[in-house]
Amino acid sequence: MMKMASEHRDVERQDLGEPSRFVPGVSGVQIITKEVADSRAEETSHADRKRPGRLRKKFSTRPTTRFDEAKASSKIESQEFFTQIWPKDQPRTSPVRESKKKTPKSPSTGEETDKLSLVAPSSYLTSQVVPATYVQGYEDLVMENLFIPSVLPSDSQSKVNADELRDLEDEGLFVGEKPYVSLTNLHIIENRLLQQKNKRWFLETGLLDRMDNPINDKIFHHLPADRDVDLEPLTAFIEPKFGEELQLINQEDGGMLDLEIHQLTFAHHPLFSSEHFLGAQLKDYYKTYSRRALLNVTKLLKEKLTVVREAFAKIENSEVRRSQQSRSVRDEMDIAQRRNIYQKEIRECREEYNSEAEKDRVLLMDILKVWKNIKDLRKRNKYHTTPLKLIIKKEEVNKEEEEEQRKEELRQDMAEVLREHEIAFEKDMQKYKQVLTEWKAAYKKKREAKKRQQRRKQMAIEEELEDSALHAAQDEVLLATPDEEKPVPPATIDKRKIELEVLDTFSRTRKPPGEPNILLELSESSPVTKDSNCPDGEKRRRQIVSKSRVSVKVLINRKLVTQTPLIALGNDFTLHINQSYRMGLSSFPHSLSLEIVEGSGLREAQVAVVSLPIPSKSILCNDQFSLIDFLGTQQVSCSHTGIGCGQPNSDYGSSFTRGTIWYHLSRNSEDEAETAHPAVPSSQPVELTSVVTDIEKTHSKDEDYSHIDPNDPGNCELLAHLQKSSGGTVKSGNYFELESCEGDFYSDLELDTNVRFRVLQLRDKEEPAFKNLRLIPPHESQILRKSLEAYEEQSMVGSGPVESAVPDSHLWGIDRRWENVEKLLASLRRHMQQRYMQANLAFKLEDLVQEERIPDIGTIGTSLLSIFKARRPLRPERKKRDQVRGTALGDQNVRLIVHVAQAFHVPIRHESAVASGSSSEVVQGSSTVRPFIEATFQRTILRTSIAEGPNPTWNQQLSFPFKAPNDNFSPSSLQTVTDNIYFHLYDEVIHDMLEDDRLRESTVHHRIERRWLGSLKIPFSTIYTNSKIEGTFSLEEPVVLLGYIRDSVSTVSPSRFIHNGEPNKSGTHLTIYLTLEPTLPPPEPFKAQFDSSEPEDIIIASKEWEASLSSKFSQRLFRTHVLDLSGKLVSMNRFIRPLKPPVELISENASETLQKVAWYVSLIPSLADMTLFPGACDIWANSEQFLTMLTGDEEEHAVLLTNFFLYLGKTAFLLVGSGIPEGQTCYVVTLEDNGSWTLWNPSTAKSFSAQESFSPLKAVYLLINEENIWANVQKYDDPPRVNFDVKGSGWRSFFSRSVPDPGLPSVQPARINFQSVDSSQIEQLKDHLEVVLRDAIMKWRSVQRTSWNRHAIKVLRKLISGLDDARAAGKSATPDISQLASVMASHKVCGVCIHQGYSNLANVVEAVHSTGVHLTQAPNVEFALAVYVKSYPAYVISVWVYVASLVKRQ
Amino acid sequence: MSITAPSVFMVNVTGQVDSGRFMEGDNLYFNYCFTSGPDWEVVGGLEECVSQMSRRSDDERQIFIWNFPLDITFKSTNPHGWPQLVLSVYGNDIFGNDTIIGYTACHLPITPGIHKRRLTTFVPESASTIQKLMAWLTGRRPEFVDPKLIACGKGREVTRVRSHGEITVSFNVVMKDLEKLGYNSTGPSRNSSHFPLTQSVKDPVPSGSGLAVRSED
Repeated sequence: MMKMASEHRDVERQDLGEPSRFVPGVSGVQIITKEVADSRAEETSHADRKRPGRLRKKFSTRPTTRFDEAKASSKIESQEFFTQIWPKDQPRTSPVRESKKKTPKSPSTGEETDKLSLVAPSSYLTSQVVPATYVQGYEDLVMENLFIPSVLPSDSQSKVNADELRDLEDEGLFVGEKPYVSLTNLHIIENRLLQQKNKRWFLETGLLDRMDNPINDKIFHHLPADRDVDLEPLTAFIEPKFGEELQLINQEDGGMLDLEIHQLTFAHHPLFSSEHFLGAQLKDYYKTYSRRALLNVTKLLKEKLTVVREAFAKIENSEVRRSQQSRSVRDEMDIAQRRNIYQKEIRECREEYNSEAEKDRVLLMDILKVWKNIKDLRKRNKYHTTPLKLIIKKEEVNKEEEEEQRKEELRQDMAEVLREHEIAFEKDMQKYKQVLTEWKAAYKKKREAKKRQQRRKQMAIEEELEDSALHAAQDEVLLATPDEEKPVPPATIDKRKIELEVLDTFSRTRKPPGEPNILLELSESSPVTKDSNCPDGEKRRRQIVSKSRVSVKVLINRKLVTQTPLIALGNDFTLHINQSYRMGLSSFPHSLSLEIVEGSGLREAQVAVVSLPIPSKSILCNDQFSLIDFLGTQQVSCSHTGIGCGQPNSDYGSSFTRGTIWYHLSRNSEDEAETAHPAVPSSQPVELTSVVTDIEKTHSKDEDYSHIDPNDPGNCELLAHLQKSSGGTVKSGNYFELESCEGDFYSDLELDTNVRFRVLQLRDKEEPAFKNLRLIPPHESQILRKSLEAYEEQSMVGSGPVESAVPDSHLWGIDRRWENVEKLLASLRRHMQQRYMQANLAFKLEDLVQEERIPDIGTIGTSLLSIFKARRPLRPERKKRDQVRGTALGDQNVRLIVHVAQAFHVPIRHESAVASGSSSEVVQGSSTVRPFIEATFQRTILRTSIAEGPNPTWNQQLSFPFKAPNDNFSPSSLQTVTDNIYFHLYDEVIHDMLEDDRLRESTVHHRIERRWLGSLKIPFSTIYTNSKIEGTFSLEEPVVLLGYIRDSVSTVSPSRFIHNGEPNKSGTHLTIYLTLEPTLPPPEPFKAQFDSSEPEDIIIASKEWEASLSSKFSQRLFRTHVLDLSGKLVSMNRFIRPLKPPVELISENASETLQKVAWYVSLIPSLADMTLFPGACDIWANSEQFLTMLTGDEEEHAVLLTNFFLYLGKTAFLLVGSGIPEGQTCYVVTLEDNGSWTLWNPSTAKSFSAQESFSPLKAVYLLINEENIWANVQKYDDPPRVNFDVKGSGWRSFFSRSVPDPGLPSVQPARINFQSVDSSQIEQLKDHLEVVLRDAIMKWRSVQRTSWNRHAIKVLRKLISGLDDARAAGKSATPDISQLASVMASHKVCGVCIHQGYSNLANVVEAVHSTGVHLTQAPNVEFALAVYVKSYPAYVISVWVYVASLVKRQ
Repeated sequence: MSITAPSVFMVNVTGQVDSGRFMEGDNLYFNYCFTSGPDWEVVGGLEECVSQMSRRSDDERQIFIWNFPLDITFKSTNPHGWPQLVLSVYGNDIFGNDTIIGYTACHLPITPGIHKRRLTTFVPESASTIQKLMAWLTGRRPEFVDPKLIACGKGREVTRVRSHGEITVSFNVVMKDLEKLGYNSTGPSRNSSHFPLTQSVKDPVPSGSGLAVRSED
């Protein structure tokens, strides 16, 4: 407000100033002036040059064109001289000179010369024809004549008189921020203005008076002044308007109309009791009261008044002071104007304050009066009908202080009023004087006229004068005009009267001093008197109230559309309807009304009709309820205490029924989704929607830190909004409000608690359980919580100490231990993953871009050599296929191709068994056995055809579809595939079922039976890493094959079965080829640099060693360091250390001990590294960890076995090589007494000579013992041709004289404590296994009845119990079949014995299932099942299962 | 009133790969594929396609017209991983080898309606000059291991690419149930009717509309 004054002045001055606006802060104004002149000259000269000729004609005939615009813009350019800063070196003078010559008279206007004269004599700057001569000492001349203002700050004293200096901010006025101008520029301009003695540029604050915003909000053209006059505006600006009406008219269909009726409240109802009536009044008042209390206008006004008064007082003071000094006329006028404004402001403010305060008083009185009435009524009636209760809080005040205050106020008010009156009186007086003089003049004239007339009358008799007639007429007219009232002088100021007036207002508006401040609060807590305690009239009223039902009918176009259900009228006469209706309209609704109806059916009575405004279609969601009042017209009088309505004579019932409906109405087109539900108004007396309070909250938060200046006009809207949200008064501003909740984001807490977000987060973190989830449901309720819960549980276990698991009834002691091991593994896996996540993430160029490598001699050589290669080599090699990556894998067309070539040494049916049975039953082929291979992968079962004989050849290709987990073919997910490919070799036996020989020619009736002869398991991970597997594998055979013998004659293997007195071990072998089509990308090895605890030079030496070796033998894999479980590189020889095997295994016989130890190690289940630790291959655990985890790769087995052998005094090496089916694998090689070498497969406990030709070990790369690592540098690497003597020339050691062994301690512990096993647990496990297996078999044979032969079971148990010891000792585990003789005599027995190192139940069940014994379809078949469990130290358990089917012989 | 809440939303995109402008090659073809996040699934349409071979036009425009249709429908539960179109253009070099001419990718439009996109393409650069020469000789230019790599940002910091032409693609996008799941996909195109006049107001008055001619003197 205060600012306005200064702004006014600014504008004023601009009006009289030049057309160019004052641009503050542009440096070098005094220099620019010259340039202005120049540019003007230049411009006009251009125009002049172009004027003559055709062009001009064109100009005059053509309408305004672009060219004109361009011209206009050149004008603008000229204007820009004020603002633009030209580069100094630009030679701008030369064209000016030219133009000056051509136009001798420059059109530099008068005002410019004026301007120039300010700074320099005009002779220099006005355009004159000056020859281009060099003026000696021109610069000096310029310097002399130009005033160059200093850049130093000017002192404020010179700008403003010291006593006038004010600090507006201190006075509580808003001082906005001026646009930024550098201080130097500011100082220059100030100094310049000071030099001109132009003080009016400065404010009282001593600052330069500047505009708040240099940008003009009005657009104006820089058109020449002469054009402005006659030119009409080119285009009329039409503001874009929202074409609602247009839309409505075009509306063909009505769209959807959503009506929600929320609540109906009666403000008056015939059934109101008197108390209700008063209560409604009270509520009404209270509503106003609380709204006003919130707004607190009175207080605000009071404060404002104080501020304005103070400001006024200041002016007065300064005026007094100033009156002593000389003042300019302008200043005086200004001050007078300001005084007037202030006085007016004070008066208005005071009056406003008085009226508001009076309102407050009246309201308070009213409320108190009504409340008193209610209380009286209640006392009189002796019952309550409303629960209303007014709580009056009194705040005691200091009487003296208030009196003092009041006096002061009174004095001030009085003085002001007096002064106002005086001013008014003065004005009146002046007016009066003016009027009086006029009146006097008129009166005088009249009197003279009268006199003249009288004189004429007298003279009329004497002489008649021509000219006097005219005068007479004039006089008559004058006299005819009625006499004007003599003006009354204005009443003198009666001071006494004014004082009385002021006092009167005071008594009306202010509370008397000493009266306590009163705060009111309305609650509904007072109990309503029970019906029984009421008089009859009231009872009746209440009955009627409880009986009466109200409903609301919705009428559109005066047709009933719908009706709310009937709702009973409560004591509070408020109906919570809460019904929403969606109406599809076929045409545009012309009227929409609600009818409030009481009662139903015939007794229906219309109470009131109210029509609603039809919403426009475009307003979709208005979140707040609208209110509409209704008024009934009927007259009701009641016989009971109800007050009735429309009764003019009644005390209370004079009003008609009225009330308010809360509703929400929106319209949208049919395709729109539902509109948002409006926010329910809170039940507080002031309707604050939750949304508004939300906004308030956020804003108030903002306010806290940004300290909104309430005086800043920029914050005006925000403050208005705040006021609105607190006061509830709705006033729409021209600003955008975010009222709906669409912009709300979830808080962190909500993100954490929301299951869906939790799952999404976990997936993003690539937690294994969630990593590959797809299509996470959009609703929280659809998410499967189980996995999340399991995960949380797991992470709890991982973080805290391993709690003893909740004892589950189905979990046995050993299984529980397994659970723990698995948890340990999982946490280990997580740990590893986290550790190498970063390494995995970093990409190299090779990972992204495929590109030819820089050729070297080697590659060129090989490519040249390939030209000379045989076209069709005698031994063709499989061509390497390109690996298919990325996109092509999305097709899910990946197949596992299995080529089954042939098998050797398949056992044939035992002659005796066949002979003893009725041979006629079995349809014999030409051979003694009809084997076929059945392969299983990922629940797909495929089989080959039948080939005959003990050395069958199939040459068949089986193709399995491959399903990647979650269809994710990335290496990381493929590594987690744990599926195995099972090959089962079966003998197909065909039983002839045909009873009648006569039918043989026409009928075939066979029963096909298959008998398991052996199986092979290849994990998918092996295929995946090696991309193909090719070779001859020995099958895992049943320990006992009843009814079959091996035909020693038919074997094709070289006659090397008997070796070192060991039994014939050459079992059945199968030649297969496996690959994936297309080839999947192999897992990428880690490229990251692993940290190591070993010396740096050793690591470097190891790298050199590896590099030099692999350049020579590229096929062989050399390495010296592997990762341990903590992810550090460890030299391999540190894993080797003699370890004491369990005492139980050591026996007298040394070779038996070896066998037993090997057996023990083989019983520990295997699991490939890759599946154990996806993405991190080749991690070696030390033996203690291995025994704790009870699962590991070949290398762990081999290390443990080597360590045991070393303890037993053997010369043993760990052998790293390549074998089938594992690919890269580890074996143990020992030196026998006779100087020959024996190879041990640690996973199967099988030992064979190094000379064995069918050995699964195919290549030897490294030998490792405690001290050193040797690489195979011999020509051949297949075991029969390798010389294992490391001292020989065929081996190159890693640690040598140049690279000495750093002598780091072994990673193995000095000794391993083998836990002994509780035998009762083993017993339990055995029983449990038996039960589980039996149940499983019965389940598999769900169609047939499964009966168990107890006798056979007994026999089998006896048989099986002897097997383990024999096997452990390395002896052939051929059971004594004689024991079975009795069974076999009566039954045809077909049985399978399987053996396993126990890992968990599921594996055992799976193995039994794969034998296929349960598949027999023979009638009256009986089964026998025996389980034997042998435990070794550290929970290494050997499980034997014997399953047999028995068919009774006829 | 309320229908059972949908559990997925659908995005149907039709359109075509219109044309391309490339400096080299006279016969070009491209293949396209879509990548999308884990919550997306293709309901219908071809996810991967190879276009016909197009010849450079004979006129001065020198463009390749494919007009190769796209039509795919996704369903999803989560806008994260909004599907992207990945285009890789191939052509023959002087020696007749199939070489990569350009890669490009763009998100499918996220608002329903008709959209036209001009995609600039790029090819990876050879790592060294020798390799560049080798690539030119052998006709095996550096390629991305997987074209879908260009739809994600991971690991791109190690690659160096060069811009190499542009492709124009038009999309028509239809969506279903996106709003029912609480996502607001209404673009500016939908609300434009609120300001129907702004465009016309801004239009300059056409010349020769009989306005007063100012006199020049």
